[in-house]
Amino acid sequence: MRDDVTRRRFLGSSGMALAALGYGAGSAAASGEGGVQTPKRGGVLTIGQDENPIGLDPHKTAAFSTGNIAEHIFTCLLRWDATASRVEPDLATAWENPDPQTFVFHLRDGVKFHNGDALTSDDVKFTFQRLVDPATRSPWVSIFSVISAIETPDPKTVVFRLANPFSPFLNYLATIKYSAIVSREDVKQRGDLVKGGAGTGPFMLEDFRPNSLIRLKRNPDYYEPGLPYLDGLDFRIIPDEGSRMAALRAGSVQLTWLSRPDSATQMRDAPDIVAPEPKSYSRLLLLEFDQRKPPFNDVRVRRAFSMALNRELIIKVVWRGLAGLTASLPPMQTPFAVPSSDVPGLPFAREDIAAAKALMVEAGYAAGFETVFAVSPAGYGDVQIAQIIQQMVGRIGIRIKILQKEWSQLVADFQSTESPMSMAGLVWGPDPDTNISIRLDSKSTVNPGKTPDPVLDDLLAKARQSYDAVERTRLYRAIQERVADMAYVITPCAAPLRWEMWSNKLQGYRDMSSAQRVYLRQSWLQ
Amino acid sequence: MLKYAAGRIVLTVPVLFGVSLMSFAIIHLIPGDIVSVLAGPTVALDSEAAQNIRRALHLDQPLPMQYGRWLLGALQGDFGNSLVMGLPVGPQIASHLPVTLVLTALSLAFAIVVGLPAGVAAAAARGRWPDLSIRGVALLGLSTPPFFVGVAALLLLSLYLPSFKILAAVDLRHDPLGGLQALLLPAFVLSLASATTIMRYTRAAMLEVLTEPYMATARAKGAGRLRVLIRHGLRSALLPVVTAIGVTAAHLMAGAVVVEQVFGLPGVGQLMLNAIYHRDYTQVQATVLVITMLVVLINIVVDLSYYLLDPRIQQHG
Repeated sequence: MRDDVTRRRFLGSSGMALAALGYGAGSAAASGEGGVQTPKRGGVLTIGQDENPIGLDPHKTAAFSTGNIAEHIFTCLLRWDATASRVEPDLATAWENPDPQTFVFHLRDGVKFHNGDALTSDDVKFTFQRLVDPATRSPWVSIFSVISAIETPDPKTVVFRLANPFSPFLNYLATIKYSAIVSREDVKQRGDLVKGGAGTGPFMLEDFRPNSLIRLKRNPDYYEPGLPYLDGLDFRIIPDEGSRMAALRAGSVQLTWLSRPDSATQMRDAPDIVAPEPKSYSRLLLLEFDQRKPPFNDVRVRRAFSMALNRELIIKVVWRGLAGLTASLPPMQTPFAVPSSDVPGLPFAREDIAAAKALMVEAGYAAGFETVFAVSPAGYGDVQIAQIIQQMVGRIGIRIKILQKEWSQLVADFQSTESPMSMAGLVWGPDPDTNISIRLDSKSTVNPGKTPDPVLDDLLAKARQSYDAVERTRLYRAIQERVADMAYVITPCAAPLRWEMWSNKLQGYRDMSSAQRVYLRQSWLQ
Repeated sequence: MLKYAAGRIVLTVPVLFGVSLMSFAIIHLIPGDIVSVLAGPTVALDSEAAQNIRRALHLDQPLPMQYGRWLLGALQGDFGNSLVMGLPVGPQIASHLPVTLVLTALSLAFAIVVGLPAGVAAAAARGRWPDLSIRGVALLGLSTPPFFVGVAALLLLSLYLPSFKILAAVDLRHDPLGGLQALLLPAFVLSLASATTIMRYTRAAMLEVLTEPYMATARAKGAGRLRVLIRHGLRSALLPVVTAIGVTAAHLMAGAVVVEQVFGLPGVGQLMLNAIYHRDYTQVQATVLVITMLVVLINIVVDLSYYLLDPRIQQHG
């Protein structure tokens, strides 16, 4: 385990020499998944996208449909490495963290927005002002409200002053969905960026035809020399999963993603198609209890519930084995998450019907009880998992009535704890804090279980403020241990966010379990 | 006839008003919140971020006031901005309408070209093998849903005829010919059920007409069998068939929603589906209104076509 802060300090003070030159070429050569290949310039990659984007403004929505496009147009101060677990320099080539509440970033030289304007510290300051401006309607207002002041001593330096130590900060700065850097001048001219805007990314918007095609073309002024190799990206909107499979087979698209394990396994045998196993699991299925009233205010009932489940069976039946055991952080959130192999060692995580029954008797529910479980059929797996759980806990006398709700209706239920039990799939967040705090911190407004646990609150606050990776890991492991022990939430499994697959003509591409497709900047068509 | 047409058009105003009120009520009755669409499940529905969104979209006002706002704008020709995209809804519909219109027109053409002759042939060969086989195929066409036929066709083509370009993006404005070509397969898939309906109506109407005494008279006068069938038979049988075609056209608009989804076509069906899914109230309102207008228009055209087909209506109507 490397010490994160020391590394950052080192990089900052050494001026981060691996920037600009050689950076692009080096990473491209290293990425050749299909052996050693020479990159080829030119060609347009057609991508089968599953949803029409709800606008292209990266600051206005959390939707993947928008992020899928925006992540090629915009870049951030930092970016994720290929494992999606460490941040590396991007628009900022170096940074310092002189005290826990101050971050100083040094901007890369010669970066131009797509409108030709040079990137300055003023644009960075404007970006974060725009993110917290109520008129922007950003979903991340509360996250970036931690910034108390932004100073721009010169056009190449930005200083962030934070209201309190906030260790997830750098991770948010590396995620385009959260903090894409926009141009002050461009936003002033356009008003907003729903129809697209000038970014600093490897591709720029050429044409936006809603429900049909979004065409990006190569940014000739992109700051990594020689990149991108492709002349453009065509996003063809094809909502139907079966149609996207056919389109990939027929070569009408060369990259697409699926959401069902059975579709994914079908494509594995398709000729000339690369359909890799997901590297890690990033979609966490989280089952929550209303802990304000009986029966789930009793920890014994929750523990019995947890022990009534055979998690391996759920993974085998619902996901055809293409999912993993998980604690309350998805396994891909390394190093913080408890690895899948260690999950059975957590308290009450192993199936034990006799012990579960004994706990039910002890809690005074020898005859069992009836309850309601709200899920949505919108995502694959949720309803199937609910049905299996219904069978499994039926064995200890818990009689579940499954209540199927439309997705946005379920979100409302999940947020405000309407049903005694509800489950939703939580997608990858940039930091372990992203999802776990809003679910389990007693001060959070999104706390469906209404978990009032001072011990947990304290651990969460410490983890949020610690800049030491080793200490953070230890804290998050303790949090997951505590959550499992008190059975505040049940995490039946973690699944892939998407099954990505592409034509073998596409070279140099790397899929990430966070479903960011930023590596298209160094991919080419053979 | 003009007076009749004008009367029908005036009657559409209360229809449109009623539809707008109903669609407003229904979309607001569906639980769920645009906030969860825009902000995702990690943002609390009562948080500052959520309040910002609601205030900006006037969703914090009481429902009757929201409807009043919308109606006032609509009367002045302003149907508002999409809540999700923030862009005016009119141009959005205008850019999505051509694909749906061409798709349904092509399907209707397919359905008529296949259904009408098949119906006449089936009636002429009543009870014999051509009749039975046409009806058998028709039953199959009627009972196979377009989403199945669509996906199956795409999958088979991708497996066995890879040179056939499937799922190409349609751009009728810049590449009308290519767009038309790309719409042929979707239109064919969409037309199956309609062709069947038209065939069945034609067959039934023809069977009735064929027993009329004037058919025998025409035959006796020495007219050829085909001439009797078409000139004397089909012309009189056409009235119920035209009604059926009108109904079918309205059904095609509904079926287009499914076909557009399967083939990824930028039509109003897709636009409306997304709008409903995102709780984009203004976009739903305007799109439903336009579709209603089209269906009403089709019905008026069907009514008026009776004049041309049946001289008796011209005298009494």
